[in-house]
Amino acid sequence: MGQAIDWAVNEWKVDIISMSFGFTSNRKELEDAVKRAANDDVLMFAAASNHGDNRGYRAYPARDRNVFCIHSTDWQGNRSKFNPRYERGDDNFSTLGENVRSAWTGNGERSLSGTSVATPIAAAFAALVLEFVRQPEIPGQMQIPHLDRLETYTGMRAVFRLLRGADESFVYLAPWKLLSTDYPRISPTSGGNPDPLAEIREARDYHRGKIRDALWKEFH
Amino acid sequence: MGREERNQKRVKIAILDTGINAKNPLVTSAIAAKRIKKMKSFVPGADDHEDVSGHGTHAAMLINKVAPEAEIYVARVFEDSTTVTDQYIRAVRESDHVIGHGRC
Repeated sequence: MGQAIDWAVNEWKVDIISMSFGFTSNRKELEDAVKRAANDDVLMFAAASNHGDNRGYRAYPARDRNVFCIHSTDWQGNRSKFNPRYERGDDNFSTLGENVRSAWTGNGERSLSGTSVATPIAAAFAALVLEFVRQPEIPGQMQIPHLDRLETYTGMRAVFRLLRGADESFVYLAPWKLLSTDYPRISPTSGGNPDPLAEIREARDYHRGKIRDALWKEFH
Repeated sequence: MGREERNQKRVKIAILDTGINAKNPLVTSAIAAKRIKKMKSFVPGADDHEDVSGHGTHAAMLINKVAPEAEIYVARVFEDSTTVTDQYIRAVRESDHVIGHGRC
């Protein structure tokens, strides 16, 4: 397992690793590989657990401080019954993990539930955030200090925390809430020579601003 | 790899699971579109990345669905979800017990 992580980091040079599994006890080999990946600014996501039998504690590597421990919710962000207990004071990042259809063996698709389903979704969400900030620059767009830290656990966590809602016991990761097309427009289209990029820049800067503020608060 | 290098390219995600079913037409399309970039087995004694469980395929294609521009790298670290416990115990130590991959 550690070998796979090292390969992904060093040979494939990935930005993100998704691990839909967990063990009850730590494995040094795995722990060391996780540490190396974290040092190389690779974001890691792992399933909190699949047993809703109130074992209480989380699986490893999900409980590693450098790994995003992902829990499951239904489509509306209600926590799934099979999650391990949410830890008080923890982010308890959660995303859709119930009745999710995707490809299977054979030719078809199948519907599955579990924190091991929520995990790749959360990983993909982080990819969307990275893709957003990596878009080719528009002249005059807002700069983001500490942008490089977005590739660290602490940086991405700061952005994920923007989604914290009224229920502070967990954070429901919903990409459409972070990068939505519904944002307050401030510049009316005026006559004269409207800058064709103005609207795009404004939309982008609105979201870049949120990311900038989150990273600033964390790293400045 | 330097950060500048990483930023020029597509976001890359590795999935560590039961491999991928490269015969599924949905997967074949993703491979042809160069979204599934590499597939490799790390299972002792199994060279092949082919998914016999379904789990890994399900997860990889989910990533593809949510992040269609990302490049996916498939690492097969389990042979299938039902033998995970036996394999890992055989590979490491008897006291270990896998609790992931439950009923899915």
